[in-house]
Amino acid sequence: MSLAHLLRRLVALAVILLCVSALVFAITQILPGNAAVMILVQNATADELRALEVQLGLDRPAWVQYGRWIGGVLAGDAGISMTSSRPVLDVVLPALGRSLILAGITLAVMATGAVLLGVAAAVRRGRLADFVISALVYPGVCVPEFVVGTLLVVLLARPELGWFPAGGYAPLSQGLLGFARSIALPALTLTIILTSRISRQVRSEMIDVLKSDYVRTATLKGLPRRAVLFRHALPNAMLPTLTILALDIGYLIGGTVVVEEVFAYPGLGRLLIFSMQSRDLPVIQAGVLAMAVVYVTANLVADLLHSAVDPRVRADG
Amino acid sequence: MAEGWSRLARNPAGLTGAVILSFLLLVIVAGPALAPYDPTTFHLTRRLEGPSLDFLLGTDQFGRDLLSRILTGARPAVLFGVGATALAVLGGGVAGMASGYVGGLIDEVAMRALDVVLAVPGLLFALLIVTVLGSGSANAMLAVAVSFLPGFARLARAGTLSIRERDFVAAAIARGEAHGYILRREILPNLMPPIVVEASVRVAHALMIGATLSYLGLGAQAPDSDWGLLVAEARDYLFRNGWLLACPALAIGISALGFNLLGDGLRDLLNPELDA
Amino acid sequence: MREPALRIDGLGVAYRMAGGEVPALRDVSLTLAAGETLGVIGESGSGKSTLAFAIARHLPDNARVAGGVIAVAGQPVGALDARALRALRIHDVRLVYQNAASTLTPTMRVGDQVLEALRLSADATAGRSEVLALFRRVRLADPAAIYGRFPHQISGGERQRILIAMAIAARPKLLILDEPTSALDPDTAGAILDLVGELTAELGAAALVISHDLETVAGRAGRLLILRGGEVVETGATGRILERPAHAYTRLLLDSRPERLAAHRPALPAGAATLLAVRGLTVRYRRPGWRTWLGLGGPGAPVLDGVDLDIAAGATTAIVGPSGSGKSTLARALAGLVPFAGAIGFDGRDFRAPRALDGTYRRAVQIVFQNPDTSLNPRLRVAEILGRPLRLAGRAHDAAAVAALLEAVRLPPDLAGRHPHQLSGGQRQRIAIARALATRPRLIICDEITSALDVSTQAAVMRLLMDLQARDGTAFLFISHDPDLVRAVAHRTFRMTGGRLAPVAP
Repeated sequence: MSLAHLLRRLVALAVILLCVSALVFAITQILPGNAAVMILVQNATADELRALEVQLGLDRPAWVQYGRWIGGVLAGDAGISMTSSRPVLDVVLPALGRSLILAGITLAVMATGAVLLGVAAAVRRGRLADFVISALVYPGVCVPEFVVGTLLVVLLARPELGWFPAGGYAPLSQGLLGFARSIALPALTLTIILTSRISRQVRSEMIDVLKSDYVRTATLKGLPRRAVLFRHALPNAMLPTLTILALDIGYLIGGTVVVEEVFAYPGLGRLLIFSMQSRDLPVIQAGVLAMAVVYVTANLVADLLHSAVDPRVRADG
Repeated sequence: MAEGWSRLARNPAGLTGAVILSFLLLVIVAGPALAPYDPTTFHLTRRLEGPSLDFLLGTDQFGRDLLSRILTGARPAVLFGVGATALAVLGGGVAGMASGYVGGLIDEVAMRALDVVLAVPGLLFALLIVTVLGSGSANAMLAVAVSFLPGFARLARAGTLSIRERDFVAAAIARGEAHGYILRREILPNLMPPIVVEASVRVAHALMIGATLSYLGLGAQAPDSDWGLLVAEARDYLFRNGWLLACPALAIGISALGFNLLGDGLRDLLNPELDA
Repeated sequence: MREPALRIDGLGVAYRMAGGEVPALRDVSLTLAAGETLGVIGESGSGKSTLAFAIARHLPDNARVAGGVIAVAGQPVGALDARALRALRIHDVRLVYQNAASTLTPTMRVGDQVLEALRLSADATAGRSEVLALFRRVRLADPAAIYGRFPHQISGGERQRILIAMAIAARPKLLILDEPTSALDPDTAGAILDLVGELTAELGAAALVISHDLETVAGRAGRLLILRGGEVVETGATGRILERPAHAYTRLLLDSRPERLAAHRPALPAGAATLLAVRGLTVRYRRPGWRTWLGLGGPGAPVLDGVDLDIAAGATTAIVGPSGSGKSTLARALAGLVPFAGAIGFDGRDFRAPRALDGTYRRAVQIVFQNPDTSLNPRLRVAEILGRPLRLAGRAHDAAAVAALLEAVRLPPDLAGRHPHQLSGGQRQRIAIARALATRPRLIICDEITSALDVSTQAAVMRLLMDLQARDGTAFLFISHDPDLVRAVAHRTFRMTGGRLAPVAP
C-alpha cells in the first residue's frame, strides 16, 4: 500500500461523494419545495412568499442553488432547518453521533458473533452444531428489523419487568447503567438481524476455504486440526469476510433508521424520517449525505484493511 | 422438467421453500374468499380479543377479524415483493447486460454512475424516493425497485463480462454471428441462473422492505390490511393483545422464509457443476 | 523379512452420489519396496487420485472404503486413531500433488510453511537456516529471497520444488507424487522428476508416481501399474510392459503416444498453394483503465510483434513455444477476435482489421479452442450448437445435416439432443471440431485442442483431423506446447518466442 495509492483512493472517494451530493440535491429538488415553505408560513401573502423565495434563493436556477448549498456544506453551513429553525448541522451532527454509537456497538458485537458462529458452523458442516446454528440464524434473515424490535419490546421491555425502557436514549454522561439500558434493545435488534446475514456468508466462505488445496496441504503435513483452522484457513476466510462486512454496513445504516424509529432513539435515522414526513429539505439533504459519507468511508477502511492483510493485494498496491 | 422436479425433491431447502410458496400462492389466489369476515368490518363489542372459535386469531382495537386481515394482506404483500423485484430485474438486467456487452467508455461511465447510486444505502435511497413521490403502495414499490436496480445491473454486467470472455462466444464472433443472436442465445441463457437466484432472495427482501415502509407510514395507508401496517397498529396494544403482533410478524417471516429457501434451493439446482 | 514400504490388498473405494454408490477403485493390490519407484498410469476416471488420497487416509466425506487393507511399513492405515494418523502423515507418507496455484496457503510466506513441516517432523527447534538448506537441496535458485515470498510471487516450478522440500523434510518412507508435473512445461517437468528420483534414492524412500502420461513416467519408474476405471489392468516391469504389453488397453495407450501418430500424417501436397499470407501482424493489448479510454495510455507492449507467416493449403502448419509467447494471440487474431495491425492476405485480398474480415473469410477460417468445457455453450443442445453455424453458412441445417456432421467426427447421431455436460471431454472436443467443419472451412485453427484431453482421446482426435485433411484437403494451423505431438503431425513448424516467429528445421 503506497501513499500514492491511498491518495488516489481518497480523491476517488471525494469525487463519488460530490456526485452523491448532486444526486441527493437533484432528487430533493423534485420535491415541491415551495409547499414546504408554505407549510412554514401558512398565512403568508403571495408577495411575502415571493420575497421569501428570493431570500432563500429558490428563484435561481437549480445548479446555482446546488453550488450555493454544496459551498455552504463544505464551509460548515448546510442551511437552516425548516422545522426547528436551527442550523442544520447543529441538528444533524449530534444525531449522527448518537447513531454512530449505536452502529459501532452493534458492529463490534455482531462482527465477533457472526465470525464465531459462521466458522463454527462451517467446521461442523453437516453435523448437529451446523444444523442448530443454521436453524437459529435463518429466521433473522426473514424478519424485518421493525418486527424483531417490536418483539423484543414485548419480551424484554414489559413495564412490569422494568428491565429495559421501551424507547428513548440516556446519554453516557448521565450514568453508564441508564445508557446501557437505553441502547441495549436497539443494538440487540440490529445485532440479531446482521449476525444472521453475515454468519451465513462467513460460513459459506469458510466452507470454500476448507475445501481448498492449501488446507489439504496443511492437513497432510500432519498439522493439528487447530493449527490448520487458525493459521491456514481462518486468515484466508477473513479476507472475503471483511468485504462482506463493509458491504453490510449499508444494511446496518438502513437498519439503524428503522430501529431508531421503533425505539424512539434520537439518532440520524429518526431525524431523517421526521424530516421526510415534514419535508424539511435542508435536513434531508445533509442527513442523507452524512450517511453516504459514513458508508463510503467504511468501505474505504475495509479496503485498506483488506490490502493490509492480503499479500496478493499488498504487492500490487 | 421431470428431472428438475426430482432434483428439487432431493433438495430440502428448495423443497421447503416450494411448499411454503405453494401455500402462499393458495392464500394469494383464494385469500379474500377464505377470509371468514370482511377485513374492514368493526365488531365494536369484541375488541382486542384473543383467539376464539368466532375469531380464530382474535380481533384488533376496532374488533376487526385478524385472520381475515392477514389473509387479505397476503396478495398485496407478495405482489409488492414480486413487482418491485421484477421491475428491478428488467431495468437493471437489461442495462447491465448492455453495458457489459458494449464495454468501453459507455460501460466505464455507467459503472461509475452506479458507484454513486450505491454509495447511498439501499433503504435510505428507497426512503428518499418515497418522500419525493409521496406515500402509497405503488410509489413504495417503485422506490424499492429503483433501489434494487443498481444491484441487478452490477450482477448482470459482471455475468455478461465473464460469459463474453468464454470461448463459445468467441466461436460465435469468429463465425460472424450478429450481436442480437449472441446476446439472446449465447449470453442470456447463461446469465439467467444467477439472476433468478438473486431475484428469489430479493423478493423476500422487497417484501420485508414493503412492510417496513408501511410501518413507517410511507407505504400502504390505513385502513389497508397491509402486514407492516398491522404491526404498526399493534404497537399501541402490545401488552394487551400479543396476537396482534405475533400473527402479522409470522406472516411476513414465513413468506420471506419461503422465497429465501427457494433462492437457496435454486442456487444448488441451477449450478451446472452439479448437473453432470 | 522386511515389510514393504507400501502394501495394498484388495482395496475398494466407492463414492456416495445422488444416484447411489459409484465405485472409484475395485480390488486394487500392489506392493512397493523401500527405494523402489512405481509408476501408476491412468486416464481421467481411472481412480488414480483416489488411490493417492486413500493411502494418506484423506478421502472426501462421501467416500467409503469398501474393503481391503493399506499398510505403510507394515502399519495398517485404516486402523489408526487420530494421533497415529497424524504421526503417519508427518513421518511416513508424504504427498506432492498436481501443480496448482492454490496448493500453498496464500497468506503465509512460503518459507514459514516449510518451516512448519520441518518443525513437526524433524526438529522442533529448526529455524530459517535449516529451511534454506532444504531449499538448496531441491535446487531453488536464491533460497534466501524465496523464503520471504508469498505463493503468488513464485513460479509453478518453484512451487513444486517447495512442495517437494516440504515432503522430504521428514525423510518419509513413502513419497506419493500425484500428477506432479502436469501443469509444467516439458523442461521444468523433466527437471522436477529427475530431482525426485535423486532425492528418493538418497533417502531410500519408496515413490509412487501417478500420471496420465506414460512417456514421462516410463523412463523413471522400475515398474508400472496401469489403472483403468478403478481396476488394475496390468502391472509389471517397465521394460516388459513397453515391449510386450499384455492387455489391449495398455497397447492402446502405447499406440496413443505421439510418435505412433506420424504414420497417419497425410503427405504434403506437392506445390501446395499459399492459403493465408500474414504480413507484419502486430497485436498490442491496451491497458485497462480510464487513461486508455481518454487516449492517454499510449500503446502497450506488443504481444505479437510483426509476424510474417504463409499457411499452405491442405497442410498442417504448427506453432510451438512457451506459454505467454503469443501463440494463442496469433490464433485469436487470425480468427478475427482481437484487434490487430498488419495484413492478412486471403484469396488475393488484404484484410487489415477484424472488422474487415467478411463472411467469406469467416466461413473459410474456423477456430477450435483448447478447453471444450468453455468452448461449448452449456445451455444449448448439440443440435443447436451445430445447426446454427450450418444455417449461417447457408447450408441445410435440419436433423439430417446435424447427424451428417456428427458422423463426420465419428459420433452417433443421437447425441444431437444432449447438452454439453452430458458428454465426455473427448466427445465435447469432437463437437467443437464438428462446429468448425459446419462451414466447410479451408483452414481450421487448432489452439492447444488436445491438451485438456486424455492421451488415448488425444490420439483419436488427432487421427480424425488427419483423416479429414486427407479427405477434404483442409489446412490446419496447429498450436501446441507439446513438441512430440507437433513433430508427429505437422508438415512445417515454427517457434514463437516473445511475439516473434522463427521457422524450425524439420
